[in-house]
Parts: sequence; C-alpha cells; structure tokens
Amino acid sequence: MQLQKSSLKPSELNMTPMIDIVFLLISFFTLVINFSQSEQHERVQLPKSELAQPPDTMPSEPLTLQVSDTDEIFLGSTVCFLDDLSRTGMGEPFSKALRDELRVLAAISRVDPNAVSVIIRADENVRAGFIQKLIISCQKQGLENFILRAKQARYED
Amino acid sequence: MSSMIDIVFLLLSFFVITYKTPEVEGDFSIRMPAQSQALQMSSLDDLTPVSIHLSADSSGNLSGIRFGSNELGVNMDLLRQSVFQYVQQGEKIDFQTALNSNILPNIQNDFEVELDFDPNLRYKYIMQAITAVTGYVNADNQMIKLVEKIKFAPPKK
Repeated sequence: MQLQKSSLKPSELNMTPMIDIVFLLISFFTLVINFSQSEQHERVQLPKSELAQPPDTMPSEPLTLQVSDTDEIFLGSTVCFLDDLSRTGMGEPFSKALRDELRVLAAISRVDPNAVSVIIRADENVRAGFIQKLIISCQKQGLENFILRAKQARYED
Repeated sequence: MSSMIDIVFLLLSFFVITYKTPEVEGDFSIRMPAQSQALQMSSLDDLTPVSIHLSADSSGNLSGIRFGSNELGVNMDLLRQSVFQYVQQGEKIDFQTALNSNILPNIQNDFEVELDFDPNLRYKYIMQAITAVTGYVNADNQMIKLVEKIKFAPPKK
C-alpha cells in the first residue's frame, strides 16, 4: 500500500506578539531603572521616619557620607574611619579622605566648602555619638550644612 | 532571529533580577555651624533653644526623654504632644483634636530645638525624636510643621 504524503506544512510558532511583549517589558524596566539608587549602600539600613519626604530641590553641591553600624564611613568608594579609632591598615583616616575629596571638588568646579551640603546616610543602629564626632570632623574642614537622610515610613509604623 | 531573541531574553532577565522597588527617602536639615560662628549667631538672634535630652541604657536603647524639665518616659508621641503645646500661640487646641481633624493650629515656628543625647544612643532614636519635633500628619494627610530649626548639642567632654 502506498502511503500518501501529507500536504500539511509543519506548523511554525508565531513569535511576533511575544517579541512585542518582551520589548515592551524591556522598555518599561529601562525607563523605571533608578539611577539615584546608585548612591545607596547595601550595608546601610536607614532609620525610618513618617515625615521623610523627598526634597523639592536637590542640594547644589551634595557630598554623601554613608555610615555603617560597624563605624565604617564610605566616602565615594573610599572606606575610612574616624581619626581617633586606631584601625591601621583597615582604611584611610576620615579627615584626610574628606580633605582630598574637597580638594578634588574645588579643583573641578571651584566649590566653596560653605556651599557643600553633607548628606549623612547612617545606619539606624550606629551610635549617635559617632555621628556627632563625624559632624565635628566635617566642621573642622569648613562644612556646616548637614542633611540627615531617612527612609519613608507609614504614619502607623 | 534566534540570537536576537536570546539577547533580548538575557536583557529581560537582567532587568527582572536587578529590579528593586525604590524606597522613598527624605531629608532633615540640621543647623550645625562651627562653634565660633554658632556663638556669633546666638548673640545675634537672642533665641534660647529648647533643650531635649535623650538618655540611653547600656545597650544603646532609649531609656528616657526629657523636654525642658519634664520627664516623658520613652514615649515619642508624648514628646510630639509636648512640643505641639509649646509652640502653639493664642488659643491652644488639643493635640488629638489637631491630629484627627483638619484644624490648623496657630504655630509659632521660630523656635529652635537643641537635641542632647547620650553618646551610645542608637541613631534611630535620634531620627524618631527629630521626626516628633518636626511635625505631624493630620487627618487630611497634610504635614504640619512644628519646629524647623534643630541642632545637636555639643558633645560632653
């Protein structure tokens, strides 16, 4: 018996709608990617505040200091410690790192230290006395505008 | 076509994996000029700051709040109420009434608060105190500011 060849062509999956959706998803994620999160530090758990509102205007010359609960200060990519903590070999003294950072800022954009706003992103469990010492250390370099950053919480929290 | 789809799926997986719900952050400004300038400023504006003292136990937890000479236990709501009563002028209204309604209190907001605290107190309690002093959110979801000028007391030697 002779078998008849099927006239049906092998079916092809129509990929067009799926590709459309995937492109839509990619566009969505590209648009919502938050570059401001690049200044967040994974080791810093900010304290919560129900009155924390995003500022209307960003400070003109921000300088962000991140403080972990183990008293490490992150100034950009530099890890430093307050000068009175003798942790030799573990990081730079904070005053030196800050002086270098201010020198770079002054060289690039002729920034006056009085115009710099120090944004302190400190972990909720860090000792308050440490923050006080950090502020005094900044004051010695001529900085006087300080901003404490907190995470927004609901009023009931 | 298939290589493009591969790349598109790789991109999509990257965005899906790295996507983080953005956390809203807010700022609190504090006035911290260097000590010599602070002395000059205090002689210019003759405002005596209201003192709030936060004490800590040995593990850094809050063990007491003192507003002026009043001991408030460890209750931040009580601190907010006390500040609310302090900054009101003219006909005073009850804090609970102001909180649960849209009545706007008559606030005199040229007061300055000086936060004094034990050095080993955890930073989150400082933020809670700053939040309590700064204001509250009423029934209309409107933020009412109580005190705008906040500073840290100089550290005890």
